Amino acid sequence: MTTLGQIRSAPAGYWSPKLETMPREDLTAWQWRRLQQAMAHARRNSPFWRDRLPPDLRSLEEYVERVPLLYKKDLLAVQAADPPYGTWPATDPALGVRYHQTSGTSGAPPLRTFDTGRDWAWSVDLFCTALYGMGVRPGHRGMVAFGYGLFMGFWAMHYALERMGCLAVPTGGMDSVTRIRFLVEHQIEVLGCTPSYALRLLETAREMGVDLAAEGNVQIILAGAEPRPESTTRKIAEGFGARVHNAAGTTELGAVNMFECEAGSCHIIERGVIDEVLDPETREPVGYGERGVRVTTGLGREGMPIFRHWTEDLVIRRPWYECGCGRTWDWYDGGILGRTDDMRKIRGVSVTPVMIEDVMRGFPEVSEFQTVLRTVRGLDTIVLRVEPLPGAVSDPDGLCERIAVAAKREIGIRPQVELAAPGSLPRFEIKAARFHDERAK
Amino acid sequence: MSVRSDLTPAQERQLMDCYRTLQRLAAGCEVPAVLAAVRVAAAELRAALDSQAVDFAFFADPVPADREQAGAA
Repeated sequence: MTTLGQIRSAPAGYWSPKLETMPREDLTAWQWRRLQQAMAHARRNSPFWRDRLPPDLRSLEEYVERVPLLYKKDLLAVQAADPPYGTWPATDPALGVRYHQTSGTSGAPPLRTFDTGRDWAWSVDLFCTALYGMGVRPGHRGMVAFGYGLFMGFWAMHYALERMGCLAVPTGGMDSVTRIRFLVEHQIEVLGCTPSYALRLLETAREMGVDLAAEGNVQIILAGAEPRPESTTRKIAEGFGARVHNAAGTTELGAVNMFECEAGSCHIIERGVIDEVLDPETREPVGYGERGVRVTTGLGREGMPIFRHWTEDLVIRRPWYECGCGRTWDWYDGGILGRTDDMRKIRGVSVTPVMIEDVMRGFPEVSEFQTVLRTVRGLDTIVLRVEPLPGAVSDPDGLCERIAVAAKREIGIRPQVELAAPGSLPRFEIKAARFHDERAK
Repeated sequence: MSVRSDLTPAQERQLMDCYRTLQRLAAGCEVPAVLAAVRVAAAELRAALDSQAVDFAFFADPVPADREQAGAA
């Protein structure tokens, strides 16, 4: 009989060895066969897709040439015309067993989706692929720290932990203090949350006098759903004394589609999606190593399928053979680097929230910050509002000056830096909103 | 459990047989509790077959939504 200890000490492996290590040409052929099935299903059952998918596509090359890009506004438009789902669904919505919608942080109305029972089983299995690839094993104790609301977020992680035979602790109703106590008392080994919230937990633990790296037992953190710089990842890893893994997905796809393996590469889950990377301006494909926008085609969702979805996520794709983990899936260098709709031009310089965050993580005495873009005397200006740790700063003016100098050096623009009172800036559990453009349009 | 392990052909056949059996049960069963369990089991097995790159009719029509209501009536 295999013991729990034997299972948990198993070497790094694959949730689905056949598809994760399939020779690249076989994988591509399998994707094309599955895509043909998905398109036939969508054309047969979805008026929206019947109008967009040509019936006579003969190859993947023809597919990317002839199928139009799908923008979120396209889906919002059909839902606005015929709420709640519009002509998008490819099954009877009565088959839906779950409802989710986008978080709405961009200010746009939420996109509404449902999953059939079969969709959800597929989505959870993709999440198992991610968790297993990070080193999660049956018997692990996992805490999912998010609100368990309409946002899809970490719902699939909860169910994936259950399916894998882990203990899944739903902490939707807990505040940060209670979660810290629970993490320590139950020696939780796996934690799922956003990077912003992981930092919030560390800050709360510090206020409680708890050293999570010493007193806790978190070994694997899935910190996903937000772009973040490497400096943030390091801060989380050091604070918890744990490995931090990236992951990302979209509500439009209804699943996770990227995860960071134990070798540190953010693999595209190519058993579930076909990803393209296109130039943000020309919409033409870019090569390995070039920055572009991730365009995703889903291969498994029957209720609300997507084909060639323009995600707005900025990525740099690398070939599978540059990662040593054995998977034949390509990967994204640094995960999701930012979003095109978050990028702003300030005095001719492209600035993203991740660039600002990277600067701020160089100041451990800063616990939280906000970025505001304003027009000051006719000039585009970055205003950084920074909140220092209580008692950590003896020379506030000096801190502001050092931040301004670092920002000028790293980004090329000198910001105005203002101090905020401890505890006055907002904290986030999902989808941090630290970047506000208040310039006149 | 080895690092690299695939289904044997016999295991793959058994899984497909199970899946087809569940599909037939779902199409004909009138007992609400059993129908619900069968549908969930079929969905899980479908995901497992997908994860092993088994070629099958992945998008074949599911059991209609009103089957449960008919079974309950």
